[in-house]
Amino acid sequence: MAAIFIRTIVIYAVLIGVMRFSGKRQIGQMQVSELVTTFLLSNLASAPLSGTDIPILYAVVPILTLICMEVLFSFLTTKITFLKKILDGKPSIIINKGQIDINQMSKMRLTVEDLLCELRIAGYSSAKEIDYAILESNGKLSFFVSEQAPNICGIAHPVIIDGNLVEYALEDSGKSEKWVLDTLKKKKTELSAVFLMTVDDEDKIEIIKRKDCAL
Amino acid sequence: MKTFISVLIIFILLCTFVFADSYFISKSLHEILDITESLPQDAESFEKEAEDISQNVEKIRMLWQKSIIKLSYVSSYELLDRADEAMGELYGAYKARDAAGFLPAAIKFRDTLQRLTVLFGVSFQSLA
Repeated sequence: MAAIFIRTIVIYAVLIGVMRFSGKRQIGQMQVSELVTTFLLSNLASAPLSGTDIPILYAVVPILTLICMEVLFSFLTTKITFLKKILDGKPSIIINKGQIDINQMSKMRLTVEDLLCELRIAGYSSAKEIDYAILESNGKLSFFVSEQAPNICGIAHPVIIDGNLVEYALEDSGKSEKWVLDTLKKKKTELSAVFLMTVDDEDKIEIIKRKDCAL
Repeated sequence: MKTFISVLIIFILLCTFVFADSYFISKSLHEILDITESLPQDAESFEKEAEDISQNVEKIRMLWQKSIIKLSYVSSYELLDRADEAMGELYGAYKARDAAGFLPAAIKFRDTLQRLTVLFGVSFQSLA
């Protein structure tokens, strides 16, 4: 028992010491490499704490190696742009001049629902309000609002996403499938040609067609 | 910059420690393994080479006892226990002049030592 107690203190001291080197960023602000390092650290540190049959150096050496690599590489990335691109990736423009870039979205494995969710979290109800949306290398989305943003009343419900009717949005908006299809007919638009259709609380419709997106 | 230099120093020290440790442990393990490989492989040789065996077993035991403390810092205890157990059996069988117990213990000890040398050596096998 005493061994586990002392091991815990040693591992804790090592972790605190090495984390001081790795900076003060929180999980949400971490770069990919930092996130991977953090997950690995927690696993490495826990193994010799619970199993006294594992030498403590089995944790200390990999922890020190990981933190050294992390700090050395993050220093090098500030000096060598190419390395930064490889390790951290580069920001991706998801909405460019008001145009949704489907290609970038699929490259980043970002769905329309994810984009709409991030928009709502940021306090916007429609993609039409946004001139630029940039997926930063730490995984956060930055939005730049359009000066000619349409006046949206309440929430814009995404009733069509990527050519498919969205049942929960139809329910939330109180619209029927027939209403949506009739509206599309009036606008002489095919369902499959719609990338995103939203309807707000005052029945104001916004349609983003596939052909209006950057492909 | 200060952090970078500190980390660089730690990294260099760490590399030195890891490679020096691997080198010295491999060296002492190879030394024990070489002597172990010279131990008799059959009952007949066990009887004939009694004097050589005595010298070799005592030397193996002494070297092993010196190494085991260093190894316990850096090796899995499971493997160490296996080798230590085999060492005990080997020594016990030698003291009792028991060829039937000595030969399997020598094989077990040699086998565990070989695993340890692979583990501590810097080779593709140890990385895999």
